[in-house]
Amino acid sequence: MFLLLLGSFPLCVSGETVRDQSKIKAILSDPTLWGEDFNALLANVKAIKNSGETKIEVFANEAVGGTPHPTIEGALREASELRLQMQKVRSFKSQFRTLVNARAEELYQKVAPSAHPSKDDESGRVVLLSNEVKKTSYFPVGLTLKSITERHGAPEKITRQLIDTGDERRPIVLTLYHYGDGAIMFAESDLGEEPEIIERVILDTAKVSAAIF
Amino acid sequence: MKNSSWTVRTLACGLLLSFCAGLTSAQTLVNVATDATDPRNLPDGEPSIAINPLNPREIVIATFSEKWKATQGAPIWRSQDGGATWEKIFVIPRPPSLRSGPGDQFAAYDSSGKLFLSQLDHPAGIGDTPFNYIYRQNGSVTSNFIPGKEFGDDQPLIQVHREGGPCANRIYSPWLEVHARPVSRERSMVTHSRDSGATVTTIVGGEHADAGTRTTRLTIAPDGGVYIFYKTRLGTSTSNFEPATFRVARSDDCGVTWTGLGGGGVTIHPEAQVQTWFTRQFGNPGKGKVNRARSSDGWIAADPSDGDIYAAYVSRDASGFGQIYVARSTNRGATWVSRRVTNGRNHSAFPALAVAANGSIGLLYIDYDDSGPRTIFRHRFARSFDNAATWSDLTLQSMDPDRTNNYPNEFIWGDYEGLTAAGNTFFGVFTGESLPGKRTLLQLDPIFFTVSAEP
Repeated sequence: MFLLLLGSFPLCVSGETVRDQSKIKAILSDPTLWGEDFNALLANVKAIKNSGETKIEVFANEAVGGTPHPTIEGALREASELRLQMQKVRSFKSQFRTLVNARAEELYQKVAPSAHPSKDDESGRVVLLSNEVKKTSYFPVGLTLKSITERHGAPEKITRQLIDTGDERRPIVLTLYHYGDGAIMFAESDLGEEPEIIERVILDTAKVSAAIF
Repeated sequence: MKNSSWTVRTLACGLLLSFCAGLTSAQTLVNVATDATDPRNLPDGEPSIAINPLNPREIVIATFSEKWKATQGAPIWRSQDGGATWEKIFVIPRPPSLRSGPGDQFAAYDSSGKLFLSQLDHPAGIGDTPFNYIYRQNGSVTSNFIPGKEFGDDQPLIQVHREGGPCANRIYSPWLEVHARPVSRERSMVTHSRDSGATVTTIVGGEHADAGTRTTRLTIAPDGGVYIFYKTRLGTSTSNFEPATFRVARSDDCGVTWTGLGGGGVTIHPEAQVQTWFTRQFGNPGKGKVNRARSSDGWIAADPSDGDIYAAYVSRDASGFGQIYVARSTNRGATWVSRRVTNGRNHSAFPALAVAANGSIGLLYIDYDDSGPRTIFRHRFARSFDNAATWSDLTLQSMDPDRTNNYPNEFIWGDYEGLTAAGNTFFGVFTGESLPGKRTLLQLDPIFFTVSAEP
């Protein structure tokens, strides 16, 4: 009887996980940070995770899978798998649905997967773009770190990541501003003319999925 | 081989009176950056250095710091007091490509005290070939420099022919052709210009029929001979090393042709091939940050007093460690004799060579000690007073890279560092840990140093 009672209760969630998920939801639902297609991308994060991607790199006008394929054909195969996963549409958690005032079931088909070479290293990558005949908008060009910290506080951690291209030129260095225990990393590229302009946002598909689905 | 440490002496003060007045042997390292000049705590990697031959109190250093913008140039560091204090002058405007940058860069003066900078732009996508430029001083050194004609695609260095004769003030830029080539067939190239970079001519300096070449370096001898040094990569990298040869080719016609030592030049080491660095992990990744070392295994310099040529290269020898050797040629590169400089107990790389007016040879390099719980990198300086037969060295700075974090793993100081000589003094710059009390945040900064070339 006691064991049955134990089994009927959910496992305890750590305070840190609760705080992280609150932070994740708050940032992902902040309309001042995101473009008109971002919620459609979010509607597919669990599908992206289930297609094998552990992270997705969101640029202002496209979202790119984190897995580097040696050939474009490999990325196209992943895109096909993702297309299948996207059909298994999931619903946002009710709290997140309220925050974004939208339903995943109505959004998920507004973006579509394809593939192209990565501009970082020319590997084949899955890419998600708007399904409509317009320029995809995931976040506004010129998004600043300041606009994020003013609304969501200082980053929990700052790290740096090198993008190696195999040649001898100065490598690209991303400064990563971590939120939600690394679920969301706002990245500044040292190629940018102005400091603290966000060039990409890196989403951990597992952590984001756990927070919003 | 001698390998004893010695106390750094006070500078030779012939040309640096005001700087020397305040110096003691403990103050020969200068933290180039300050909180005011580097408010964003930029990493300042891959430093190069040049001294104005008409005014040795004027010294410039180029490092990876701010970018050029549409409205403001990228900076170089300048000292007007022999290296005691430094300012940033924002004089490198965005090039005609309108791309980001600087990527790679280097500095050199001509005989009239005009400064030249080689610069690499940085396209947004890896699929696009970057462009090199020779920037020339335009009036005052504090005025915006002018970019010349674009050429090439990677790691452009620069040297200027300061001697008289038919090659006077010819500019040479050795660089690596990598983006227009299959991965296995990179080529060492040389671009030269008669008109300060406004127009350029590009020649293949070193290539191999069946292999790629890298580590492209250049020196100019007092008799006008121009020497290119390069590495020919002969196989696949295993355990951080790859088989290679190091070769030198010579031009006797101001860079037009490079057949002075026969097509492809000559090998400078006695072995048919050596094992040299090709890795993203110079260091011990289990004990801290590491640096890449793919084109960080050679340098070349000419003796201004007698025209001997010296070339530093890496060889993993019987010690099992990657070691730095210096080869000497007394017959314009035809034959070479090598001596090991490093201690046979620590992995070493990133050699930079210079020869002083009195023929003393200086070698700046980096080794590491991972015998303890953390990797300790050491910037070291070796000198020879007997034509590279014997060497003594000292440690300029030891550092645990994990004490600082204004840079990423795999790119702590970059692909090379800076060393030159003026009169009987060596002048150098390395990317090291900021000196005690100099920065609010402990970080990597350019560290300027001087060492006497007097025995």
